[in-house]
Amino acid sequence: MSGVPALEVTGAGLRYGRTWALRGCFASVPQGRVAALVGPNGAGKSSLMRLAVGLRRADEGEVRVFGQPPRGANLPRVAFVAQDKPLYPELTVAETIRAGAGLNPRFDVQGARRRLDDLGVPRRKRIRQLSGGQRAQVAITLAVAKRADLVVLDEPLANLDPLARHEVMEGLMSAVAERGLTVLLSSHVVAELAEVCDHLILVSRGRVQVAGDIEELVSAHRLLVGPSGTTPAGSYDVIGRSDTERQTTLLARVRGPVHDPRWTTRELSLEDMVLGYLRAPEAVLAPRPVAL
Amino acid sequence: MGATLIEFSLDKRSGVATYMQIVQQVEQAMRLGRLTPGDRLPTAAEVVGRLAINPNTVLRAYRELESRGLVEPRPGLGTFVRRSLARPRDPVLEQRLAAWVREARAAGLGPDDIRALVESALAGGLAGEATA
Amino acid sequence: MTWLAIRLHRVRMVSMALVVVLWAGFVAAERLYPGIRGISAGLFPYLPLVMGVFLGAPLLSREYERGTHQFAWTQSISRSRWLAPQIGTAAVLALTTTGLVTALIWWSLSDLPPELTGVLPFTWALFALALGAFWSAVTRRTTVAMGSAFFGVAACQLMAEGLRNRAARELGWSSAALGAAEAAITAGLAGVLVAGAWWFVTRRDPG
Repeated sequence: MSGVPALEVTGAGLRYGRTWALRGCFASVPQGRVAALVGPNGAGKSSLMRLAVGLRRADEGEVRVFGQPPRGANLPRVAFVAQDKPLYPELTVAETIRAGAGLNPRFDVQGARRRLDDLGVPRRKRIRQLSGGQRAQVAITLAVAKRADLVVLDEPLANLDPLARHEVMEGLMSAVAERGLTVLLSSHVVAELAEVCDHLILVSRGRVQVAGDIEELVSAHRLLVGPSGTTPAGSYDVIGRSDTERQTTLLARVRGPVHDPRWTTRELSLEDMVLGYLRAPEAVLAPRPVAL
Repeated sequence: MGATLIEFSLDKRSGVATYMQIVQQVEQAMRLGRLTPGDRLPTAAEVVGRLAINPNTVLRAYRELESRGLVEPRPGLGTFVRRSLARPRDPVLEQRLAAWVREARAAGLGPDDIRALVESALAGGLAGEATA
Repeated sequence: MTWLAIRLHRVRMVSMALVVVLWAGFVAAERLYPGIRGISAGLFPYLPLVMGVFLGAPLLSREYERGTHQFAWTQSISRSRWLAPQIGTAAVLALTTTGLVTALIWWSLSDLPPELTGVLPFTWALFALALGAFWSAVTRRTTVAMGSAFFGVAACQLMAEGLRNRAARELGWSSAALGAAEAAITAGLAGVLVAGAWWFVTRRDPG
């Protein structure tokens, strides 16, 4: 696998009229990763995805997919499923597959049919007659059958029941295992991504706050608890703190051991780390541009 | 390529990392003789097709098993069990353990008490240890 | 992707077939009751309005309203290659309907009014379609685009009527020359409007 990132966002900004939805965003997703795009509603997740799939052009900075802008000859390499899983409601499932085959040179018709048959989605039904879960499956199956190298999914699990969630994820992860594709999926529920994703992009208030390998990020952060009025010795950056009368709790990014017998150090879960950053919007841990 | 020999299951609340749970389940299956040398582990695609987890997690578990010398990847074929962890069965030991468990039950010990005793014996913290 | 464009126009094809049936009814009526002779030609100016409102105005706004542009424009083809068969299908549909309706009127009436001769009915159909498609791309709302197309086409028809009379009266143009000029102007405007719609689709970002 080559070293070009599947997705590279360098200083990207996006404007709706005079309001900036995104500003100065930096993130990079290596090939073969399953990246989670996380953040509160309205933080700019969908905007970042629109940039990544070429639905919009950045008003500042650059967005590259496998080293090229997501346009023209690069379009076959990116697949997108928008939030409401838009498909033509008057078409049948079979016609939707036919449309996918006609619009994409690499489209896997057999694979798409097999997958939808396995899931029990009737091919003769119209899209508007399907349940929400079935419709999501059709949209995601089409995106996978495009044989793109980067699949971008905006809130793929929203409005799905637990079984459908599991089936959607199984299908996606099988595709990742079989074809080594890169996935970028967004959610505002961090817990449902922990088993699936190995890369994180945390967006809040229109910027990328944290980006990187989940394991590296989680292992670099600790919860430090100690008596109030003291600070532990060691090399670390404080992301957030909360004080009670007797006790101080610090969420810290540690660079070395923290040795202070009065302070205890605890490991964090991904969810706790994300929450810590969301509570401290001014703390940023994202890749900066390489000096040219 | 043969039927799937074992299936993994995950305990999301155990606090044990997902890849480590897979490592432990393979080791357990090997100890119990359910996996023997030459058996093929399920492919990453097969595992994630059931568990809906990141395939890199499965590959990482298999790498860990490989570094422990338990399995070996054969390119294009899959990951295969290299050696056996199952011990030959010892009827005398098993009979004596069963008899001891019966005695413990008769003395009013519950399953948790018995487990705690066994754990404690394994850790070398029982009264008889010093004199034995 | 012509198949998809044609498939997505299925309902509009049925509507246009009904329009042709409607005119067949007018023609049958004027042949049965000579007292209303001329009704089929007299109602003809409404045909371009139908083209603008029902073929042009929904063309792009329905994509935006249903979010399907996010599906269509993230497949492997460019927006231009997606748009061309959409407009092409609508244009073929508009021309076919106009052709059938003029043929019916022709068959029923021997003396045709000038706006029904030559290529003029066809260029008007294309102009109305293009105006609807343009408003569709600009407003992204089907109802707004329909209203804009209706009043836009109606206003242009009134203006054309006025210009026609003035040119005939003051410049003494023959009706053949007038028809040729009118056809050239409407066709040219149709081209400009389609180019405008194309510009909005490919150059302006979807919201």
